[in-house]
Amino acid sequence: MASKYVIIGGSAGSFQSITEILSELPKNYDKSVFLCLHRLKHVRTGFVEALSIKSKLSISEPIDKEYIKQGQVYLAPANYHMYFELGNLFSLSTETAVNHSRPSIDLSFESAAYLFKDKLTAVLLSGANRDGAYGMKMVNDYGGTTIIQDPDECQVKTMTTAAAAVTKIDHILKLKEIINYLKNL
Amino acid sequence: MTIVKKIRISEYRELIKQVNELYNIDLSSHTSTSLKRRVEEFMVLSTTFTIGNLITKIERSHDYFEDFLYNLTIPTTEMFRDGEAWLSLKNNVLSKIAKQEQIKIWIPEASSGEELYSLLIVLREMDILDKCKIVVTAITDKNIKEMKTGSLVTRKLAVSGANYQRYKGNKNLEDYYEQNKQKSILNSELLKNVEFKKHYIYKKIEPFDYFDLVIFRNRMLYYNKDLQVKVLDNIYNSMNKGGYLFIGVQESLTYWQYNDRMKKIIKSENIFRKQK
Repeated sequence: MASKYVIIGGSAGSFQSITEILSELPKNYDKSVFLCLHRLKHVRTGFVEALSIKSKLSISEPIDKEYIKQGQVYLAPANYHMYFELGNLFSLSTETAVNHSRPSIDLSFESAAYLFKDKLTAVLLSGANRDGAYGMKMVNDYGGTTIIQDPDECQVKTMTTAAAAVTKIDHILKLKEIINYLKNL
Repeated sequence: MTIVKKIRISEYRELIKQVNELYNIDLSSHTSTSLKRRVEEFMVLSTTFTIGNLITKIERSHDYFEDFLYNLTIPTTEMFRDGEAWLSLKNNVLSKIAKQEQIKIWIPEASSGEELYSLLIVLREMDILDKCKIVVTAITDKNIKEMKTGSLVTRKLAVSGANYQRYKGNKNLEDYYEQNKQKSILNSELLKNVEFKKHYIYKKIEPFDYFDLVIFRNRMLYYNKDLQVKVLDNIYNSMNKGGYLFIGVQESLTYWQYNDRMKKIIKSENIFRKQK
């Protein structure tokens, strides 16, 4: 089943990888791309701008109940969890932080997995805690594709290793391979 | 994370149907992702392992149902969340209406006290708290009971303190409460002009009063678009002309808005003014 949705989770050490992915995805990329990155909770501006520098695709932080568009990159806003709803909508939440994180990668991945099922490709990058491990399991349970960045390549391998310990990972790839994989979806 | 077995959609539908029939509260227009999480968390908390069991308990006890509803309300987290937004509210709204003889403020569907306590501190520091009448409405008695006591979760106070600095408050946040291990208590003097009411905002209501300012941040997140429209209509009808509405930074009036009933007064913050 063709993937229409890509969700990428990352924390400490993932910024460079994210910008590299964004610089390589072509201008006419037709998937919806969701970024769930650990970030400072009170810093509302600047992150989108920093990510946009090398990106060929437009990046925004979704407003609650905004429609999900193709070919757009969405960054989970600071201090909100980012969910996906029937009707192709975003919903945000201020529920308690999970794994000390809001946005939580687990919660976004779980919500995306539930809604998009086998049309979802989930990618987990470098990070210093276990956020995303449970989320990856959910992606698997609902038929999506799971990819982790090769832990040996990660600046901090905790996050990707935790995911691999919790669930079967479809592909363990170096960054260049992840980029190719996403380009060929 | 959840340890309750994944609940099927048909079971959620049954739950929603029963709640509506028993207590005339329609949860079907709430956003499903967060609703499901709240239901699952409540089931774990109350050691109820099946939806059937949950429905039975809800049917048997109104108190249990109140607990259930209470757990559906999402705690809004820190005080002075988005400190710059509070500062903007002070500079662009409160400074303007400060000259009025009486200022009426409504906080609808409050789940925990943080927005209220932040407001009270802002008003106190502006020296206008005494001429404010503040109404806080909530959907369960339990929410009200907690807020009436001025109780704060101590664990969250560090973040609140940092937010308060960003708001550029006059003092230290600690000056306003008495700190204990688990819960801290806001100075009760601050709560003297606050009226608490149990109130269900999801149905069309006759206004019970008219307000100069409505603070409604990060509540609409849990409504689908149709419910947002209903609730915003209720709020709009309860505002004085020229009154202000303060919503969450990632929320929007776009779906509800027509004829520019509300105008955004400042580019960088979600503060709106009723036009007619």
